[in-house]
Amino acid sequence: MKTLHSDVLIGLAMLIFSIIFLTLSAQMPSDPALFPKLILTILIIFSFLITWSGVSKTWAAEKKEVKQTPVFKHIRVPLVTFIALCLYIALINILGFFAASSIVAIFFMIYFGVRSYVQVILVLLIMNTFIYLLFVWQLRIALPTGLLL
Amino acid sequence: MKTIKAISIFSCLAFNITFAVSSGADSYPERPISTIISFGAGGNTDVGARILFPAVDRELGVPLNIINRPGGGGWVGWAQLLNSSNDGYTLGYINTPNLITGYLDPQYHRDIDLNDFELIANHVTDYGVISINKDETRFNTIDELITYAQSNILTASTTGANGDDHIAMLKMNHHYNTQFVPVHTTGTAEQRAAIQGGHVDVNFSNVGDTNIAHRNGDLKILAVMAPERSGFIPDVPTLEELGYSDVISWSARGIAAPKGTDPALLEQLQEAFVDGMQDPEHLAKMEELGLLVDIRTGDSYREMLEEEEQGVRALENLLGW
Amino acid sequence: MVLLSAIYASAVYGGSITAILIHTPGTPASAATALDGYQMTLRGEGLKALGTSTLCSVIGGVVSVVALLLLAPPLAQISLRFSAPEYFLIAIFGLTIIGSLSSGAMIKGLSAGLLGLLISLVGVDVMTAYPRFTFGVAELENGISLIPAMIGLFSISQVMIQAEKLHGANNLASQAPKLTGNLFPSREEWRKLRRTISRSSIIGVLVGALPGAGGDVASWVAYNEAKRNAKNPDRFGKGDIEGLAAAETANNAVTGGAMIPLLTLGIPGSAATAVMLGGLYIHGLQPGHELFTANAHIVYAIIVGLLLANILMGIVGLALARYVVKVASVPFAILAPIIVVLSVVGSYTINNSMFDVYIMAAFGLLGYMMRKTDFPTAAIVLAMILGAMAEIGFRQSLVMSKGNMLGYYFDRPFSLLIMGLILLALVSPLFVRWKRQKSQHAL
Repeated sequence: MKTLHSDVLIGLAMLIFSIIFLTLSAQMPSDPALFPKLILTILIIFSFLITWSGVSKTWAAEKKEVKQTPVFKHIRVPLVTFIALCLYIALINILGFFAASSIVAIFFMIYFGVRSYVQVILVLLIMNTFIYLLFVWQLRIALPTGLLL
Repeated sequence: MKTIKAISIFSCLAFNITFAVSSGADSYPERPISTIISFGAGGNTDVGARILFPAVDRELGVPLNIINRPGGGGWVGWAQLLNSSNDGYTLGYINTPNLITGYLDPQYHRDIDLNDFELIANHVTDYGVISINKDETRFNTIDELITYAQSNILTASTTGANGDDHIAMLKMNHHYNTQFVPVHTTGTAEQRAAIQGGHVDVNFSNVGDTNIAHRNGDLKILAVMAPERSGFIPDVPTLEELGYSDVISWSARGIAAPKGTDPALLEQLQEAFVDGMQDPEHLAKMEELGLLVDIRTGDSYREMLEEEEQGVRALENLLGW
Repeated sequence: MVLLSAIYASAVYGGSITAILIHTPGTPASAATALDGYQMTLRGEGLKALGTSTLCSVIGGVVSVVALLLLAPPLAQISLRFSAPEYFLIAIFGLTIIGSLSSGAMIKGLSAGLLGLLISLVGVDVMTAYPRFTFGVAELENGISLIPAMIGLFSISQVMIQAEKLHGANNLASQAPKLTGNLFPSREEWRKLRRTISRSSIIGVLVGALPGAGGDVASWVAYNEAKRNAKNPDRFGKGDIEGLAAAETANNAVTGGAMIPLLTLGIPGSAATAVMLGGLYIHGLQPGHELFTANAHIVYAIIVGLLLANILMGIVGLALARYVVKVASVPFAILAPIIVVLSVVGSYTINNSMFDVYIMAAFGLLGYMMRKTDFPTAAIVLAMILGAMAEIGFRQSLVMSKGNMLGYYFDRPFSLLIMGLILLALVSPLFVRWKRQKSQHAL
């Protein structure tokens, strides 16, 4: 079974990206479009090179039977981390900064395996107090507020 | 940028923008008012505001909190101002001509005009000046400069495309057939370095940016693009008195609120700002900086902005719109 | 004012601590620090990294204050000789390092650099006011802010990489590196560092004095130079103490350098000193020759204050290093949420903007994907710092040269000098390789 080396996909993604942005810069007046066009053209050449290196690596891998391409199992936890980050940012807009931060911190700590409630509460307390004192009280920055805090 | 943030914030602490104690007024304003400044901390608009606000705080009885939202030639802040609630607790500085060129320039597709703002009071009007390197030998007066520029291409530094410096330069080219080409910079610092280092031939800027350098002999101002001479540089003639009456240039900044703010609140704010602007300490500090406090309210402020708008519209061809 | 300048100096230093310990540069100036500093922490040399960073920051800071005290007027004159062509060339010079940032494929490093350049173009074009790649979003008109992007690329991606090691939810066993080693570099290392530190101090002061370039540019240029002159350039990026020292010395040497044009000409040498200019004005002080004569006591108070701040920073830094370094041994499960929350606060507070927080998240994902596929994230940051400088410099000089671009560049002594340096940077690796091959043949 052939598994494509990740470089093939990356190269193709870069190619598509560059072409889309090149069409966008084609609509600009010539003066500001100069640098984008230059950069994107080189990027297109590079994307071919990367695709090609990916293809040759795929052949090499076929011969040697080397395992590659990240498996889903490996990226599951980072992916959950990232989704949690996105939800957290969305929650800031709804609940307000301190409420959302506390929720996400609790989630991360439990997800990553903190089992001591004392630790969780201690971290929450210290984190929120520190941020409040430094940013709100001292620097007078209005952190986003929402329904709760 | 964190550094800058920290510094700007500490600077307000260090400069004692003190919280005035609420005098027990029964209604508006009952909490701090946010004021959006569409340029960075330490810039001319920001410094002017930080000098003015302590006096206004005293009038209002609540503090005005400065929120710097730089970017997009001022439009990041103005977009936020327009999207803010019109309850009188969010105000902003509006700066011409960037505000006007920003909504007139068709490439931005902005469906906004002056009516989207409730004008409160103009604070500062800063007239344009034309300056040259202190060791310049090819021309030494505005007449010589214009004659020279009619037959030679001269580079001119500005603080950015579509700004007042750029527009003044275009007006010169338009009316007097000069061949100035703009070298747009990212701000006053870069612009000053360009002219003082002799990297550009001419510098289009404002009284506020250059009067101190002129007095120190770091550069030479040839003319001020104002209806009358500036008190900060009385030795410099106006373009008009030298016979070039078609070019007048200024950038003005004042306070505005989002559309639909209660007229009673606006009146109260206007009174507080006007009283604050007349505060002697504020006036003295602005004078030292060479910033002309130009208090205008109501129709007078509106007329000034409308006049500017017409001026920009007349240049649409030159700006390539 | 003294307070302001003291904060300026310590903030640059403070940003480096987090860069070293948790791969989170606090300021763009400490992005280069993160490269080698964090690797040292992983090796268990966090304490030494902190100590070196502190000492180098103090040395850089003190040298820059001395320069400010003794050489301010001539340096200010030199800084005036720099304009668009020189800025363009400095940017190009800085970009030459991209090729060597990539540990694996050179082509990926260059691609990441190009992507960074492209990102730096987003926003209103300075020369024409045309909004490029903004898609009608007002926040994009000012371009993509560097700090949120950097926080995403470095810290969020770091959290995701770390999270990878936790397959299940039951692995609390700390993968935190052990802490061994000394606070101070050994005598031998010192000898090695001496030249790097002196070179980087000079670079820092000079770059700082330029109105168009700050600590971020200086630290990369110094890093680049250190690497080029190093015996083992291959070790850079893998926890080399010289790379750390170069970046740290230079970014703090900038602080005094940046005050030179501020105090002598009233032209701020960096964005942070622009704020100080405002401070001077609010106090009714006018920068320029007068400030040094009529108000000399204030100038000297500022300079002495800066000097004391640097020394104090060193003492506090060294005293606290032993405690601060423990951050690196906090279990990931507790550190991760704190890093995430602080990343959000940090991104938000720069412009009081939720949009910057979205940028941070997007770059976090990008950074993770890049690191999984061997693209160097530092190349993007470097290109974002230098990209705008290169483009604006190039297009301004196009206008300034009035049509004769080549003649214009060759007519300027400083641009010739920098062109020479670029040539050297490009040719010397080839030369070194050729020499090595030759010596191998001889054997």
